[in-house]
Amino acid sequence: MVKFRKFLVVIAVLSLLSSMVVGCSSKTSSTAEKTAEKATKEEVVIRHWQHHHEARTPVVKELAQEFEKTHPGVKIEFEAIPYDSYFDKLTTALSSKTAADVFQISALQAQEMIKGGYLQPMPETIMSPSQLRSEFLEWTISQAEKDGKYYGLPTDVQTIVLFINDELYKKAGFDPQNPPKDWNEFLIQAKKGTIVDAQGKMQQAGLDTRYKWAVYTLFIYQMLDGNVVDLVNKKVNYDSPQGLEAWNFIKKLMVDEKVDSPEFMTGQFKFELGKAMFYLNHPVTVGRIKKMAPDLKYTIALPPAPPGHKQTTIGHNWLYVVNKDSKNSEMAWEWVKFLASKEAQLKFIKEAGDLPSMKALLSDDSLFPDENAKVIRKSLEIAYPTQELGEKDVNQIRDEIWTKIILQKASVEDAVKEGAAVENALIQKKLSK
Amino acid sequence: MEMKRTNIFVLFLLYGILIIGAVWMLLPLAWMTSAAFKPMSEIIQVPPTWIPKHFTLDNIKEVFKQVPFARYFLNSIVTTGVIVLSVLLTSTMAGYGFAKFNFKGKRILFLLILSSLMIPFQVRMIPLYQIAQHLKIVDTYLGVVFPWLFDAMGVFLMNQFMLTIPNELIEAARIDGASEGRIFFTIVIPQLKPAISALAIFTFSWSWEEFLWPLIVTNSDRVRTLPVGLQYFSEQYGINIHWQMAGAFVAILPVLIVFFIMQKQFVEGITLTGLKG
Amino acid sequence: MIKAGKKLSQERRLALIGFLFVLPAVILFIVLVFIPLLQAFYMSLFDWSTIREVKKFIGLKNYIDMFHDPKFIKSVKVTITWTIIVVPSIIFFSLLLALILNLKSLRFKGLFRTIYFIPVVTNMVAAAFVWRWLFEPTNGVINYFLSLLHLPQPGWLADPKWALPAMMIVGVWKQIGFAMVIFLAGLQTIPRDMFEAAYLDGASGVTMLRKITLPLLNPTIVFTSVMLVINAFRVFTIPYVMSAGGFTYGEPGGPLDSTRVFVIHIYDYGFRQFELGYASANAFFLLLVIMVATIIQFKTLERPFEY
Repeated sequence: MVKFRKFLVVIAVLSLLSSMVVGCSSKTSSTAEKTAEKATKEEVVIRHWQHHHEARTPVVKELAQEFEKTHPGVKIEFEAIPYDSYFDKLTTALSSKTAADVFQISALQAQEMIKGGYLQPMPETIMSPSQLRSEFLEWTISQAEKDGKYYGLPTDVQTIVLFINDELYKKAGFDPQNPPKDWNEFLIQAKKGTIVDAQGKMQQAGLDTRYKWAVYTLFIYQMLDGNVVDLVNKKVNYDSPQGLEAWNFIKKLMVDEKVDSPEFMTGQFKFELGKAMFYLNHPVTVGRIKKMAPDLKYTIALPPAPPGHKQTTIGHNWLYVVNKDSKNSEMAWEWVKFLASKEAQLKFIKEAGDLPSMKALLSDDSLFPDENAKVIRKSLEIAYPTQELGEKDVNQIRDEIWTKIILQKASVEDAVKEGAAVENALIQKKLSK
Repeated sequence: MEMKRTNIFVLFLLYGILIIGAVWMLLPLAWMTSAAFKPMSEIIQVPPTWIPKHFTLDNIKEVFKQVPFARYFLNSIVTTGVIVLSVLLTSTMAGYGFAKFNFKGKRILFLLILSSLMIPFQVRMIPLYQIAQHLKIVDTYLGVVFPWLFDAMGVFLMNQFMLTIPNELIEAARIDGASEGRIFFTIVIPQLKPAISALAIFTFSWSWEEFLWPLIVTNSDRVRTLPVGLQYFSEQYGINIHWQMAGAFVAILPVLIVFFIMQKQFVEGITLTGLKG
Repeated sequence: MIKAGKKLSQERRLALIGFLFVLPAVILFIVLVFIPLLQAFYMSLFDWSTIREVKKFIGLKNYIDMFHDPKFIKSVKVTITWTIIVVPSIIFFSLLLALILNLKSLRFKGLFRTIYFIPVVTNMVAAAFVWRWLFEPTNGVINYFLSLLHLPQPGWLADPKWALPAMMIVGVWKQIGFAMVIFLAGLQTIPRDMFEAAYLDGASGVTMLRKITLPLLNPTIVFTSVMLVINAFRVFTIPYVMSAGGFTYGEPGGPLDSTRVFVIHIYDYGFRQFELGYASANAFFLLLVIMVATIIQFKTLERPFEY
């Protein structure tokens, strides 16, 4: 009974606390209307959403403070949402009209969202289309345009480059100064870099494939010279004989030569932890390596090309966009403009390891001090922009092809044809409405 | 004599089963606790170290630095507190009404409420989300708690216990001129302390770990609860296991402490539920 | 006459008061259960999507489409597999533990009871994250133990064949303590003199178990299995947390839908694709299955509800 009295006390305290906090919350509750209502009286509140990233989240917080200083009476309410639930949350919020004023979308979602009427075009007072085109790299804004109007500014500009662990590469008998140029070399080297113990258990991967999107997207874009999606005919091209060749190369790497396995260090940072020789990922990985494994020696190279092709890579970026229903769209666009400005980009580059989207910054040699950085700059110039119609839904279809080939040892042709049919149907559905 | 020897063998076997089972039960907690205080490089070592070689508090600090974990904690306490209170109040009142009064339609109402035990939350989830949208309570505390303010199981349990209270007790008070509210709060409720505390504990433990609904209905740190907040450490390109384990440790610890303090009530609570079922 | 009238009004007064006591729960029941249920059924008759901005009455077409949807069939298969393996396992293990912990001569019973109950109060999301790492194929503790025993080490969550079994182990882990305590309570209601009489008649332990304990425990077993079956149909957190995540894991219910339980299926359609009508039809199907399963199980329970 004494314990029970204790319990009652706990409950009483909890209830007191809760009634207090609930009381406060109804005042500060975050529905867009209330914010707007309050805003007209005292201050302008801009709600900003983007997916959480350990390096970028702090940068955006800093930038928000700077912006608030130069714009008195404006408050940026920043929410970093876990990547796992970002897309789900964004769609839910958009369909219920509770989304933020400013949010981040993958460039690949832009056309769909513009068509769905979720986004607001940029007013001329912020930046004219011609000014925009002269300042930003063409491919980073191409997806944001519709009928001559622009609907967002680029952020998180990334290509895919090849990371090489110098020590493991030398141990396998190669020279980091002389990275693989084509797929055949790459396959042979990756195989040499793979170590399996006597029981057949993998100890070291030749290629870290945990970011499978990077691997298959790069290979199909390289093989198809950037023409993966055909919006005119509403279909994908990766089930063509050439596309199948790219998928077959994946099978060679993963099934025949087993340079990595989904069962080897699932979900872990294999390359950063020195357990993989090659790694295909975005240059932003530099920032993570600096933080996680400051002593790791590595070389960055352009990705190897399919035999007979030039060395190319893919480019992918995100966009900051303004919600159609935003009550403070002027100020929201000011904030977006600031996020894509030179000062902001310099901060993203230095603190988060991002890449510039402004042409002017590309020629700034101080931003590309070493060989690795110069390779990254080069990759920006030779990148095919990704053009998928959709982000998560498309990835899901292609991930499934990958998984079928690698885990189920399915026939490449069947798996790819099946996936392509699903994606074609998706494209047709999206373009028809 | 023969009996004795087999007894020792049997005893050995029984303890063996119990200990293997206990290892299974404790394995995740032991590993989590150990990992919460180790650097990443040590976590991924094979064979694993159970007692950290490079003990560190950095993971715990990072958890509070990177995401507003303290806020999630508060949010969890507030929402759980409101749910527990509301369930206790509505269940005891309804249980009392059903057990000790007669009115038209009582039978059908009781059966209706009872049958909702079978309705999975997922069936109501989409309409409830639409209600939340209409009331503009998406991403508020009220939005997080409102589907749970009433629990059919609670009504059922309280009804069962109310039946055990002698009617004479209530009638005597009524003759003495006590008001109905007074009878309920000063005579009926004290009779049911163990049952009420059992219900409170149950409601607390399931609402503390409710995941699906808060995942859907929260958008911001202001109302995000602990289980949803734990997702932060799963990243795009890999998982920061050392932080995730520290976060899990922080989320699990308080409930475990409450459990150890009040474990008798916990276990008795289930006993009561089980018996009355 | 006057007295009778007074009595009547007193009766009415009490009826009113009783109704008032019940009212808050009834209102909440109507708002939170009854109306949403009707709404869900109403929605299930529509082609209703907030993304495509469609709302068109199509009658029972959603229900018909469902049976031609491979994802639906897959998720039904996964959920049934989960139920028929997890529920009997929990009952077997927890009954075994309860029988052992009910023995008079054993010591440390309180300690073991506490240990087995810990998973019940452990936050499932946090625990699922921990289990995911215990099942990690290369550095995970479970494969480390298996390697010590020279047993094959599967890829667990990365392998469509082993992902579901791994999650089922966690599902059993979570609920054993709960079932065990209910069985312990049930065992205590069995009068001791029954055993004594049987013992004097020369019955062996196994006979007593078969002839006395299990039959008398039957209502408790049925009650527990009803609860566990309902829980099994509704499982979400374990497969959701253990299968999804970033690029390295993948979609909830993966790999290749091998862990797509029914609630993930509803969540996927309702809250990721916003096919509200179709998702509601699926949810209604779940309700139907749970009702049928519950009724079938209660048929075997002799003791009816008291109220």
